[in-house]
Amino acid sequence: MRKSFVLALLGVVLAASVASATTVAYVPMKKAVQMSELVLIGYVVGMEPGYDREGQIVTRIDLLVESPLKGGAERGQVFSFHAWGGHLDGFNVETVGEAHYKLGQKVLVQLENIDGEYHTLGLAFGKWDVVRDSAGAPWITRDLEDLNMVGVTEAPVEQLPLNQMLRTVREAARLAN
Amino acid sequence: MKKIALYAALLCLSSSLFGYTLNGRKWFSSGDATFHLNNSNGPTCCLSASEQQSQISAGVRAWGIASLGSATTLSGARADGTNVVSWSKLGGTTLGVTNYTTTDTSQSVTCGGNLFYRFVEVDVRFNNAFKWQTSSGCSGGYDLQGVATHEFGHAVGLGHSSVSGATMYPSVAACDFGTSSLSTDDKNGYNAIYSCR
Repeated sequence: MRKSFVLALLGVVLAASVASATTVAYVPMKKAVQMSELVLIGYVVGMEPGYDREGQIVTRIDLLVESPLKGGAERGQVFSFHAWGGHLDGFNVETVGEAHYKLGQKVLVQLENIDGEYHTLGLAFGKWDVVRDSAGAPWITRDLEDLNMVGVTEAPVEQLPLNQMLRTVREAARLAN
Repeated sequence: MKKIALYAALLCLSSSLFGYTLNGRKWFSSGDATFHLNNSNGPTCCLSASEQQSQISAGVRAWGIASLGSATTLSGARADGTNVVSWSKLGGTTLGVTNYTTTDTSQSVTCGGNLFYRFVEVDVRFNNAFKWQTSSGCSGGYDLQGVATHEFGHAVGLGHSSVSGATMYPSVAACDFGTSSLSTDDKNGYNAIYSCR
């Protein structure tokens, strides 16, 4: 009993929680799509914590791709990228401003390559939840609450019809060609 | 009983009456809140190394509890017991990240009815790929001191403020150099944490 108590107490003392506040440069929708190497719609099928090259705790997100809107991924492929933070080796790393994921969740992600590892563009800025409105039409929404944004030139978009994003991706692709 | 209910309601309303928000952590002593700058891998544009250091230092010192100590070669990405400020690749849109690397949840204090756990380690990283500029001749660049002041506001325990113009307001324009100076709301937020040590 006493041993359990001491272990529990040690657990509390050693429990380290990590959170972050993040400042991102605001970029409008079209530019954000242009800056994204990949834009994918898919389902979160795996989440695994680990260390990145800098020794920082990250969580690998495995996405079963349903619609590759931009970039080299294929439909049906499991594409992996990283989110900062995670639970590993006694550390509870929570990155405020980073996107939150749940297994089975359908998301649209805008990904950039940072030193060989893919992350969402601007953390939560580049992760959208795919939802349906009361009429059954697909929308995408994102949570920007924990981000500090500089260079803001318009009210940041937090939700829009999925079709509008698809048009933006097509327009960005047309301009790139 | 009515008085208790009124007091509880006032406490709940406090975050809307005051724009600042608190994140439930604080430094228990100024000695713990010493940050060490790793100025290697700094940005190539548009500030000299000494300008970078002085602007980061000003951002730290804006909040009385924190200070900038000796230089370090440690990384700001790891939990190593040292509060490190460093430069890193953070992608195309992320300017700065403040990591609450370690918080000791076994130690807490209350101040003004708010509960705070003890900060043990906080690390801050800035993106070396961005154009950091001074107010003179700024063109599409970003104010390092302003972003640093905001990030170190988080590093002393503040969340975002709903008061436009406050350093802790979560949105500013490029070449906006106003966030280096603390607003009354920022100071009130700081005092809500540190008026009782």
